[in-house]
Amino acid sequence: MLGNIMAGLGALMNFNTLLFLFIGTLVGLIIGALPGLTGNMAIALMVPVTFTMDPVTALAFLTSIYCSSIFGGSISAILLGIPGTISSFATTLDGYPMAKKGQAGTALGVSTLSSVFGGLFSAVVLMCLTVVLAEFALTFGPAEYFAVAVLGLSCIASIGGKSLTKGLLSGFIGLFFACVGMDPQTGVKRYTFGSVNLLGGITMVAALIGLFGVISVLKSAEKGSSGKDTEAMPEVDNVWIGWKMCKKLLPTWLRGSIIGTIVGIIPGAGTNVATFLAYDVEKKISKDPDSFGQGDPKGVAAPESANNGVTGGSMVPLLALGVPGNATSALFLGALMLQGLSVGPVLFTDHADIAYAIFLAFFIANLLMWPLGLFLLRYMKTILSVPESLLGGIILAFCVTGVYSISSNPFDVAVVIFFGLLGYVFYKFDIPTAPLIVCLVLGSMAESNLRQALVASKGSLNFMWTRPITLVVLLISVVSFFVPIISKAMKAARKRRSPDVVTAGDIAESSTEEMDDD
Amino acid sequence: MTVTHKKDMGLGVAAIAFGAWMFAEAMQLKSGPDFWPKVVAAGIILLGALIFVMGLMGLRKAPAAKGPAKEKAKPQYIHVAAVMVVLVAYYFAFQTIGYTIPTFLMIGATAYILGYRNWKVLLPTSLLTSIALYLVFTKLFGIRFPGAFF
Amino acid sequence: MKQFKRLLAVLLAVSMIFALAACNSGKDDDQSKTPDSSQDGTSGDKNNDSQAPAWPDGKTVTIVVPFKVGGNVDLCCRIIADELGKVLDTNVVVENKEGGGAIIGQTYALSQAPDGYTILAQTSSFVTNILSGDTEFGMEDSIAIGQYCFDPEIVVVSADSGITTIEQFMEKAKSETLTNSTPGFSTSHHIASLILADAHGLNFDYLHTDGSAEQTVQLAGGHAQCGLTTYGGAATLIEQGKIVPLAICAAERSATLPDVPTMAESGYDFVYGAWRGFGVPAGTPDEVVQILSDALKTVMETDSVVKAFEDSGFPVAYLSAADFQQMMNDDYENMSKVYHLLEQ
Repeated sequence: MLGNIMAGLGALMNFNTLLFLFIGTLVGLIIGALPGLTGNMAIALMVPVTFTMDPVTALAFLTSIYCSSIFGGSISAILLGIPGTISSFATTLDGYPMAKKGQAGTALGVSTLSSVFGGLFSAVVLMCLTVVLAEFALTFGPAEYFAVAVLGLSCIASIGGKSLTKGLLSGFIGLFFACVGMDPQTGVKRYTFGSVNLLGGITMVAALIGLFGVISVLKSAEKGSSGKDTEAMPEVDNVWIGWKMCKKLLPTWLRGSIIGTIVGIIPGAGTNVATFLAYDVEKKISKDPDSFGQGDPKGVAAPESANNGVTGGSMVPLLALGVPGNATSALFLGALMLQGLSVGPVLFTDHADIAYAIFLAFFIANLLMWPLGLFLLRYMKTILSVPESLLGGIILAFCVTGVYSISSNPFDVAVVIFFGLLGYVFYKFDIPTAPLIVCLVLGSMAESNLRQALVASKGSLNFMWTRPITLVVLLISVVSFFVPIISKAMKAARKRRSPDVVTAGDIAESSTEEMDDD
Repeated sequence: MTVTHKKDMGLGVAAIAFGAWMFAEAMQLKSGPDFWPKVVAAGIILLGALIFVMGLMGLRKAPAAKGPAKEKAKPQYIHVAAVMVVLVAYYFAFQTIGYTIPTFLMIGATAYILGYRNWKVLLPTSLLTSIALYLVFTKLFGIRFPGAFF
Repeated sequence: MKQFKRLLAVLLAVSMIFALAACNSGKDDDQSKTPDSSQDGTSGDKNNDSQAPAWPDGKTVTIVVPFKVGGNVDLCCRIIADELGKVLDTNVVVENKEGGGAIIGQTYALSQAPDGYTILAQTSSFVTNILSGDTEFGMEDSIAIGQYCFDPEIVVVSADSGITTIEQFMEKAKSETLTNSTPGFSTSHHIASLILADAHGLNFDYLHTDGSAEQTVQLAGGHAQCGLTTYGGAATLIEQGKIVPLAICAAERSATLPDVPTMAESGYDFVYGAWRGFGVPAGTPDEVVQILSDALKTVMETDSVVKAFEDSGFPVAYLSAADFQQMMNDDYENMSKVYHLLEQ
């Protein structure tokens, strides 16, 4: 293996390749930072360009875009509260509150280091365990996918905010939007209102940007011109967070990276579930779960290490089995094939130098992200000094243009506007939007796989307990769903100093209590 | 406080109505694809009812004497509506007129609604942003915008 | 002063974006400099110059791909676009308009001015979409330019299923119900399975996954027993023996899978596959169609394109405009007979 690493290093170490690694990292960072633009788009545009490069340079270039664009997404999530992609959505939950508290620098610093850590971790896993873990990817059938989707959905109970019922309502409305479109199992149209544009379902990024981008502008509109000068610009602190903080965050990074890498390996589950899970786990084991959502650095560290953990994980099934784990690795497959390379075990036997060069490119790209990220962020955080009133229109322009560019369909712009309005209504009724996003993303995965599992088991539900992975994941989901509810109820009960034993059945009442409290 | 409870009761009713509509639509689907939407619709109705009941209970419990709880700045709904109008107008304009001019106007109009009045900064900023966005998306990403003009 | 600073920041951002743009165009230059324009390419160029100097006249030609960036069709079109640009001596760009099961992109392309500057990437879904009744266009709204690829369906089974021959497979599917994994409802793989089942009385329970990657994983992991797929997506798993190819639904054996018999060899007359080509809106002048069709032929004979297609697992199969039109019309006929199977 050491020989292979040296061979891979040799293949990488030339000026041209390193230059493209550098350019790729920079391009990925900037594209990732723009709302609505994804690294996927950049990679797709670059794949035909890489045709004329040598294989190592081509793959190193794409790898660096992939890694840094995932990290770049956290920049707009933190500074503007607008997640550019679904994978940086969880980062918004704590990153934006941190920025509002004047800790934008810290938040960005945490997200940089978390991303680098997650990326490096997954690069190591990729290098050492690809062949072993590939078999793991194949154990996932519809039943297992269903369980993973349920696990992702179970976190809506904890990210729902103050009122459980409203959080759940938001989630269920998200599930409704996930139903819109052609049913994947029968082709039946559901809730499409006869529109061709809705046949393929609601564009998730458009909904996301409407709920986070447009709403931020509507909120500042609501304040009116009167309040504009009273709000002082938050002081922007340093982006370097110090070793003490690093030490404190290390366990979070480890957990996030492990979750990201493992979930990344499961083909199709991808980045989205990983970030939700990492955030949720961190919140649950935290001594102070209430600080999440208010600007806890761990709430940034967990999803950011997870989504960069996914980068390496998603390459495992691609390199070992020739099956792309997500949309981005599908593009890598295309790039590899254009170079005349076959993936799978053959790659390791026939082109070990290229395989290891890819691993090392992951390594170097993540390392490059660190200085580049910190350097760029120094300037990017000045965006906060632009007055909110001026920024509003620019944000809207970026959101609308970015979303339009996803599939050049003006209808997606209408989706942005609709979800902006919906988000505003939610805001007025104190309904959290986070559960809606989670359910919109995972709803059809849950439904489609449940129905596939039912077909495979000839209509019996026994797959839920006869398949070990499914059973374990479903049990974890149940625990994950009820723990925050019960602990919340117990807390409320303690507050009342009532000797009553509180069970999950009392939730309704305890939440009423809580509403009285505020 | 009572306002919150009344609002919640309204929300509950709205959720029930929405869930009922969703369920009714699902009834027309054939067996198979109807299952999941029905479950979701039932969930929405249930949650709506729960929110309504909780609002009602809260309303009874909460003494009306609490009075005006917090002195918050009154939300400027007219501004919110204006931003929405700008957005909808933009949606139609960028499909008919083109990209750059409506984008320029949209940025300017939004800033005006939000209370920004410094034209010396606003004009060049919105002009530069719209042109830069246009160039980046058309030249770099190969996106074609609809509409008559550039 | 503070405002000036702000303005400066904005300017800085803008200039950075421009730098990026310049960077990209630099790369494009690199690409055109690479000496891979074969003789065919240059001769095609000259022909166009002498015969029809008017079109395309250096104006940009856009290929509308009704699928997402990075998909198989998109990849094919991007390979072709590069070379087509050289042959036509103009800029050929790919525009993705995904959504609505490709209907949005197809509607968009066919409603553009019929001047040849907008080309639609045609796939099997064009025909199935028209049959679904959801489209505003019909077969008559498009003129064929040519086909560049025909990807025959392969009958595959999971290694866990224990099935090793096509005869065994047919027997088993007749006597019991097999789980059949597809990359999605009404995809060509699904339709091929429906037609096969209808013709020979086979019993399938369908598991519709989301894309060919998921389909092949389900088969390789033994979560579904059988399926129809194309070579490109399953190649690696076939090599590893996790997926077993039984028969190919083509007229003759494939060069990539020489040991796999055709369906006809095994006594089942079944030829089916995913076809890909180009079309333009009805009303496009004949000369323009001819120029495009010839250019496509030249492109598909270029060594670099042939190699790129081979490496990506897409079988090149060029059909002229007339042949492609005939093929689409035949497909429409055939599909309209079996479309009811989808609606059951």
